[in-house]
Amino acid sequence: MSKITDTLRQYRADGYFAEFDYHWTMAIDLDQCTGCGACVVACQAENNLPIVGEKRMRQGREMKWLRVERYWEGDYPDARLSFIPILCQQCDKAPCEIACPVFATYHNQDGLNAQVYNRCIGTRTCAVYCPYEVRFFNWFTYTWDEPLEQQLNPDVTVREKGVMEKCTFCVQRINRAKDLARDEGRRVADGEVQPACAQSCPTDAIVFGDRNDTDSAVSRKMRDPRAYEVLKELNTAPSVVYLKNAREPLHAADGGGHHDGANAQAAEPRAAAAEPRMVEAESAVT
Amino acid sequence: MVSRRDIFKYAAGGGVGVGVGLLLGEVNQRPLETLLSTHIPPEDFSPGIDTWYNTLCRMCPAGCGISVKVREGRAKKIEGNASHPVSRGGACALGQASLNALYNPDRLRSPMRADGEGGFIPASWDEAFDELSARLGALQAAGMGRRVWVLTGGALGSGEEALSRFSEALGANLLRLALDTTANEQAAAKAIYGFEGLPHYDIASADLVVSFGADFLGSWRSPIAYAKAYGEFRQGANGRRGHLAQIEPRMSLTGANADEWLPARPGTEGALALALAAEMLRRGRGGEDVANWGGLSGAMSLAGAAEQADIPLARVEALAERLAAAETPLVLGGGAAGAGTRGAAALSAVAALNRVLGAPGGTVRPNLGHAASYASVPDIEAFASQAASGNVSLVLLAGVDPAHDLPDSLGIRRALERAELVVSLDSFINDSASQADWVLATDSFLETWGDDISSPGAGSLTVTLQQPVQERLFDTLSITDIVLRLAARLGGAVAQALPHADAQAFTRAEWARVWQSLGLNGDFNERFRLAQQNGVWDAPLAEGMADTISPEVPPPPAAPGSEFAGGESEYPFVLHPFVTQGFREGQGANLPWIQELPDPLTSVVYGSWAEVNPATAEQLGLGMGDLVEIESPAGKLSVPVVVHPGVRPDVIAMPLGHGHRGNGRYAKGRGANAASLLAAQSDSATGALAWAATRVALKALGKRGRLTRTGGLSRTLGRQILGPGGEH
Ligand code: SF4
Ligand code: SF4
Repeated sequence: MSKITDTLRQYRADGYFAEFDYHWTMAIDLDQCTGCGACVVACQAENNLPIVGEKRMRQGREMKWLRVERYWEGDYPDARLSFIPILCQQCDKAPCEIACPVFATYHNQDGLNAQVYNRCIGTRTCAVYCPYEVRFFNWFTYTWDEPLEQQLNPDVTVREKGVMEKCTFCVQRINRAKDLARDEGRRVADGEVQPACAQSCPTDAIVFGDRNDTDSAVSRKMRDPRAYEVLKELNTAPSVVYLKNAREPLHAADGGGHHDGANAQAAEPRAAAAEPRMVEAESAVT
Repeated sequence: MVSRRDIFKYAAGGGVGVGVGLLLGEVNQRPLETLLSTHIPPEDFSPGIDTWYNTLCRMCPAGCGISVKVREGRAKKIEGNASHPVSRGGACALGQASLNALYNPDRLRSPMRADGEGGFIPASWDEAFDELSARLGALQAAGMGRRVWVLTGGALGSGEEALSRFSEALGANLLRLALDTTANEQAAAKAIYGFEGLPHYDIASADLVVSFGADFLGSWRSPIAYAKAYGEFRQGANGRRGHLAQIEPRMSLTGANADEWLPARPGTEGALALALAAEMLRRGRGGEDVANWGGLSGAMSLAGAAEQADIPLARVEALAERLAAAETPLVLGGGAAGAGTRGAAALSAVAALNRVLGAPGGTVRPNLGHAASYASVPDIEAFASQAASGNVSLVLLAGVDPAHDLPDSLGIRRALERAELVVSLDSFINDSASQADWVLATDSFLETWGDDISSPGAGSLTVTLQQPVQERLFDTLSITDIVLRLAARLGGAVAQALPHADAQAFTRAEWARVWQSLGLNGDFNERFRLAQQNGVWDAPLAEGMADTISPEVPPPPAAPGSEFAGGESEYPFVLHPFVTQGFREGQGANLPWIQELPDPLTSVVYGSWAEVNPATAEQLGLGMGDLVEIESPAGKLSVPVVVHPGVRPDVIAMPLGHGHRGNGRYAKGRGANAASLLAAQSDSATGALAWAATRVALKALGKRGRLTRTGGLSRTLGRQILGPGGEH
């Protein structure tokens, strides 16, 4: 065990990944993201995410490696909505990694937080440790209504009951690009590999690349004064960097208005209630 | 109206290149490293090797160029075609989910005939063509082609050409149907800018965008092209961040992204635009061309317009200030703002504001894409009354579902009941097809040939080629194939008009005809092969065509406004139906990826809802998810409510595209159909359906509805998730 814990400690030292070839990083510019959801479908298509069905959705069993969170501010008529795509932050100091008893989740030398499906024994500890709520457990073996299964991406496995899964930064695309570059005796060029979400994004809000290359598009985005990390205070060292929306604060833009946290809650009385992941209501079918 | 046949005259003749060559297809393949050596597989069947094909997305009228990843002969993933001037590598949720239509478990696998008991049984193509050509032949011989009605939807390009030649030769009627058409926008462009077709809006170069109801980031016209432009508008290379103001009674996706959201009272948008135009003239902002518009006599004062729109005067004045100071402003109008009973006038007022601001020729340019002409409400009512008096012998539904997508008040469902024979050309037993005698199973757009002229395109004439990316999965044909085979069987004038063997031959013949007419002789095969590789033929416009804003000064637009069906005391709320890009008017409902994609504003999945302002909800004692009955003069339905602050207290907002009677397991019986509430109101100038001009009443039913929402807290509660410093 001590070899492993030593390695873990090494991984978690600042600057460790700068020594390796690549340190894959994503920057999401919230001033460009419109919340359209194209990236969510792109991820579902690329990574063989199951169609869980209405019943499972109602039980809170949504399976989306990438989701767009939405936050309201203010009250009518001075209300504002903001969007933020949330996916696995590929933390360099990932809380989930120290939690797994069998090292099914570990860090690779490209700075990726990887999940070994056939090593996972389903304790679900990692999901509890993850502050971003981006790990999803297969409570069932999902199937596809024939012939929908013909769409499945042959480059990605289909997971079964009992396995934890999450965003991989489309590691299959990264590996393919690295293989090709190695065959041609060169580095992966900036922009050569894009995860599915970044590729589909119609506003180019998602930029992906190698942070070790200081000239890469993602490195430039990281130097933007608007750049920040979500839940930075937890010291997870995420590999996803957000650029803050550049809108003026709500009540400066219109020279007035009011802001009242209590009222804000009242706007959505039941949504803000105790259950954080799913709001549902049942008793009648329309 | 520019017809497809005329549009190509705007393209430049000589020296036309194909789009920048991002060579996909065979060029993109790595050489086979041989494990399976000796046989040479077909191009799209090299195990383990991706083949990419460029083609056209047919899920909405935008006409994006897409690239499809094919492995082992099956389409796997859809991306935007990076070399396509409209999509520029982006792809929306709906376009990507079109794979769910291709592989849909409820997709028809062969022609189906009604069994007389409400069901359908599989049949052969020969049986279908025998019966159909016999019926059409008899009508034609009797000189009764007029009794045939061809109803079509969004499909343009050479597929439309085949349908219209077919109808013409037969003497049949052709109606293009959609709930939200471009008719009012075309009328406004003609009246104020003086050109035919739809304007091209240059959002990327604007420093200020003021949008009256146009949800250009959500579903309006060309969402990908506009989203690409928006990315540049916000954080583009020019280093300037554009400001966006959205004026609409219910916050759309665009409203959610705006710097300011101004919830104007429905039907007042045009008057506000006109008042702003008059204010700009007062401030000397107007160019010489509009000098003789004087004070725009029909316009209200800013204060009057602000009061009518129910927006604080200070905010309207601040907006006027911004407009007056902007260097490259752009004003957009669309959606519900252009769908009142004087929608064309409202959009003309918006165009007038652009004209005063000097936007035409800069941020507003003629597009010259193919702007379709749609059936007006009187056209549809004529069809319905012909059917009612027993004069409709045959209805051909060419890929359109009017029984769902259009209001019942137009009488289309009744008309389909009365018609002698109804034939639907579709991939699903949708609401209209379930009323048909025959449903002829059609290809997915990924399995066949065609093309489209993107409109509004990219400021050029963007012709996108559609080609099959894989073999047909089932025993299906494309609409063009079906029309061509019918033509061949009918013989005579119809066969002469359409002598081609199949959709591929027809598409090639059309491209050859157009290129020849432009004097682009060269090697057709080589040129066409390049178009297949690039997926697009992006023709520069002929000299001078890019700035054909009419120098003539049009008369100032009339005072806009809207009249609503239903009295205010009986029906206290205005119904605000809205289009989302996932569902559109119903096209996305049978796609499970779309059903499972949380709605951007409400995070609802699997079903529809009505949006209610918190104050209204409190008055009526409604909480999130409570079931209500919504009644209009035209119909009623029940639906759960979503209570949120993005809607006016006097407005009830409902998404379109839900509530199907058929259309497969993912769509059927989910949610309620907002279109069924709409009264048969029409625009006073164009006759276009006024789909945002109906009032409704709301009644709590005292029970919970079936509302499923994903996601957690709707407030950040100080966690600074949206960035440091915010007090969110
Ligand atoms: S695709 Fe882009 S714009 Fe749309 S939600 Fe995702 S990140 Fe935002
Ligand atoms: S915007 Fe329309 S044409 Fe473009 S990808 Fe989406 S559905 Fe397809």
